[in-house]
Amino acid sequence: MDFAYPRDVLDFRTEFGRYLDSVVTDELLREVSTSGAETTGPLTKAFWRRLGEDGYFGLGWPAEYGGGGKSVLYLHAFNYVMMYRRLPVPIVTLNTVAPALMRVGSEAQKQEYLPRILRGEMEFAIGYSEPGAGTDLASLETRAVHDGDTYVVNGQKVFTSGAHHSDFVWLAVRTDPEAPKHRGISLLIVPLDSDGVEVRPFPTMGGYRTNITFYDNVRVPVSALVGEENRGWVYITTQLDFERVAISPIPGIERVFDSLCGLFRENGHVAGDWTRAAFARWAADINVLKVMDLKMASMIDNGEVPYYEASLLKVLSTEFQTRFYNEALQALGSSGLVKRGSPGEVLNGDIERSLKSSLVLLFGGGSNDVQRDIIATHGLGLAR
Amino acid sequence: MLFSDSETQKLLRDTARSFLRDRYPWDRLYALERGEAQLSPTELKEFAELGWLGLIAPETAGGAGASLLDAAVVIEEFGFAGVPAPVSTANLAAYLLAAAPSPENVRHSLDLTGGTRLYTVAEANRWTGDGAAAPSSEGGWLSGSLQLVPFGDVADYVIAPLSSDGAPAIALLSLEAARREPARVLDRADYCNVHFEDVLADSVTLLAEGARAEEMRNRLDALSTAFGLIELAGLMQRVTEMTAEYISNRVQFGQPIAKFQAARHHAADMLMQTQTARWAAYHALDCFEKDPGDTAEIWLAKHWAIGASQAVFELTHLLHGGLGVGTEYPLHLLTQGVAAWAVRAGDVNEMVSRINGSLRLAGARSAA
Repeated sequence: MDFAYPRDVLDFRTEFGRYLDSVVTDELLREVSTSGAETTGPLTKAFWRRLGEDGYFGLGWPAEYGGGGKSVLYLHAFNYVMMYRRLPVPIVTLNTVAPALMRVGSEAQKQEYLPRILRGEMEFAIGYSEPGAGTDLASLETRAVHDGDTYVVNGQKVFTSGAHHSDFVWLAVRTDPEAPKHRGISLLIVPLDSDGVEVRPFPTMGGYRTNITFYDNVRVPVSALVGEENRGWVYITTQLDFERVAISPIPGIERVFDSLCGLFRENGHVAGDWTRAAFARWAADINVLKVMDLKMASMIDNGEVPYYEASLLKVLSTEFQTRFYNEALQALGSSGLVKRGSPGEVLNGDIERSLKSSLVLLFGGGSNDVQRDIIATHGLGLAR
Repeated sequence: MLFSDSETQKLLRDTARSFLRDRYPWDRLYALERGEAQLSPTELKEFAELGWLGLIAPETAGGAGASLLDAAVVIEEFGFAGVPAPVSTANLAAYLLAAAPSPENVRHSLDLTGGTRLYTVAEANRWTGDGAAAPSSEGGWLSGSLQLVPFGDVADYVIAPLSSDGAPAIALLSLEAARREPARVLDRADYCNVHFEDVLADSVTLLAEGARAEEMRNRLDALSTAFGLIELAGLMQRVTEMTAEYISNRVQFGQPIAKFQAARHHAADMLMQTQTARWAAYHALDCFEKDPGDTAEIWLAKHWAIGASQAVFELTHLLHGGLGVGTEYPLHLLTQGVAAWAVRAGDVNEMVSRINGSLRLAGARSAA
């Protein structure tokens, strides 16, 4: 066992923090805090281009794709610092689309997309879930049919987050309706400005916008196919394991926890017994999440693919965060309920807002019920 | 970074796993739990020959000079096997003897690591709090009591707090002239209350006094908590594995109950709680090893372990049903240990106070 965080990665964290101090402006922070991380404003887009130009988006990418070839621990440090500071990261583009393109994309796709992703110029949305295919994703019905050298796409997706400001949708479609449901799915890259694509807003209680997207006889060339036809399910599930690690809510939780400690420490709040006990409990829980998060990064760094381990951390962290925000509201009392911008707001109204937005992760990235099944099957060897 | 065993740790783990599996079948564990058997001098010698009693003692004092993490691997295996044995306490004693390296203490350490005499440590979380006054040594006489000394039935020496002519100290006390009063506890039959009734104080060796004694007490408190959490993690892992095996074989409504989602999810939660408690304990121990003044994570790990062990305790019995509470089925030998070690490893009020201290919340003690 060796739990030491490598010196060079620690140095990188410090150096990256200083870099952010120099490039993050108050205007950018205002844009992010008013529009929420789910909406990409012009300053955010410019910030991403800057990060891309300065090499931060390709830290862990292989050198052949223009990346820095650094270990996954650098990527982990990058994500952690960004998320702790509440700075938006184009997570699905960097963690879902780019790695899949590197692994199974055609040479033309690699040439077309990877350099622009690396420069922070291109953003993808994910089109997986449908009204009838959520947890049971493999039941998706959006169809893509060959017609000459094009696919014709018809169907509907839900929770297509970011589709209203992205360039492409990474779309899971059914290409063989006769095959068993896991074997007839393919992935297509569909430009969101294609004829027949409609993006309709789906507001959520956390204040951020996601979308419903409709596909009405949308034509894309066969070259939009990612990897092999009907192999899409394999690509999706492999990538979800990494996504579960990438969408960790832990830095955000830690940020709120630190702010809460600061509030109780400095503003003269005298915590009662319940609150004092709660602080100790939260500190212990967050410590465990951080240790397990490091374990995950270490596994990937050592060439292992976390499977049930990723599910384990996903369940723990997402269920903790909803409980934590609920309990933090108890600790603050009714002042915690005041929304940002209203008189008497505490911690920018972060906690009431975080509570609402935390819910999405209970099912996003794979519902926790399914994660528990994965843990039972692959962690304990229980037959299905 | 590597969250898995090193080559040395693999060797230690494999050796301990196979040795304990062979030597401690369920009937032996039943006998120990019921007080029908005691730790024998032969067993102690075997542990010594395997190097387990002095894993962390310096080589010059007969030990292996191993790291705390290496020692923890062996301690975890004792937890996994459900074997109550003085490996953890012997290593704690070795740690304290090494911190006071006089020629006399080196001789004690050689006796300890060689298994010729058994050294134990009074439970650290009994050192403070109500009704746990330290024995006192005044005017050449030792008097007072120690409550709940592990292996107090067979130990030759105990390391304990002492009031030495009115000053706080940590001392090595010979048990030769002590009166031993067996005390059954939730999971074990090898505890004793030890009474010193005007014993000549030449059986006392001071290890630390004054501020140094306070520092050593804090370290002992932290290290015994961490070792306890590791032993607990081993027990939880074994319980979780037994549960998985049981629900895979137990057929109800025409199929193994592991096919029912509710049972699967309970089992998944057990694994989550077990693995997190385990890694939190190891990580905390590593922090302590790098900086013995850094005990904050140990208390955080203890806090997590309370909830985690409760979940494992409750869920395994829920899944096992009536069979699990029957004493003919050995599950209780382990789950009793889970409940007891969660308490034994560190004082819960000390824990909250220390954690709040590390968060610098008003009115709390410093974690370091």
